[in-house]
Amino acid sequence: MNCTRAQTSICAARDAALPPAEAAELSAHLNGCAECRAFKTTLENGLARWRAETAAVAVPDAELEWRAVRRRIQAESQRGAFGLPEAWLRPLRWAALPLGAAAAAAVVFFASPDRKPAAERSADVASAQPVTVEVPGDASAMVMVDDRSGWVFVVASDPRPRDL
Amino acid sequence: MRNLLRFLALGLALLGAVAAHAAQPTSIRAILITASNDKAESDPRLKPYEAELQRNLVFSSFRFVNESSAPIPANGRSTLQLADGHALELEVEKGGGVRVRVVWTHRGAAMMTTSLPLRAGAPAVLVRRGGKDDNVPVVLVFAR
Repeated sequence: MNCTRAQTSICAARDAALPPAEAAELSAHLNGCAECRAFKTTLENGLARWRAETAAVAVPDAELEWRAVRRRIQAESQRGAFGLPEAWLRPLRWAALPLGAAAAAAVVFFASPDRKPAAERSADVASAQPVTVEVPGDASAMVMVDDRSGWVFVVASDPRPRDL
Repeated sequence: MRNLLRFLALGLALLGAVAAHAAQPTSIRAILITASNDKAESDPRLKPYEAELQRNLVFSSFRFVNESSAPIPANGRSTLQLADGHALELEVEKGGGVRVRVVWTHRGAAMMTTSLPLRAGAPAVLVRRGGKDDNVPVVLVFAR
């Protein structure tokens, strides 16, 4: 019997008694192999610890736990929003929907990044880099964004001399 | 019912925050400088900006001329008068960020009209080059 087969037999022996011939072979191997003896000891210690720890865990009673959960659900459903009693909130019920809708509409209106006419807005959306430049005469313009600093450079070049 | 009330509270809170933000004026600051290809000592007032200017523009030196600033309400306008007849007419649009429309004039003549987004800490640099790269006017526009 080699070590691989011996360790398989050690594991199998935990589940059921080995046939007498295999048990004898394993015993003979263990007498001469320190590594397999250590493997057997480690396995036995591990199993013993697992049994001790699982025995110490208190398993809750499912029926009692379910009753406690139902009590909490009932208590919660008798409470209104923000933990206030439902009776206190009843007068506000009629106003909640219109006020909520008005608030949402106002938020959308104020938070809108662009309240320009539709034509200008669509022009911005269409542009990948929304910088527009107009220069008079025959000057030309160039826009660049420095990807390291985020600075925007707008450079207009005029062929005619221009002094400050 | 509970969800409706939560929605209402959230909506009102957002409304308050957005309205307060939208009501705050944007402070716009502009610095007028001149750029040239002459070798000159760096201006200490431009020290925070010089490295970025030299990295992105073709000029060798920059000279501080003057600066001006003004608070501009959201969707409002203001004019900044700079030195030597340079002026910026500014219009601020506030939404997801700050967007500024700038009309730059020099002694009444149009230099440039541009509309661009401004982020805090990242100015817009407006340059108007003439036929020769000497005393080229450059305006740095900052939003706060």
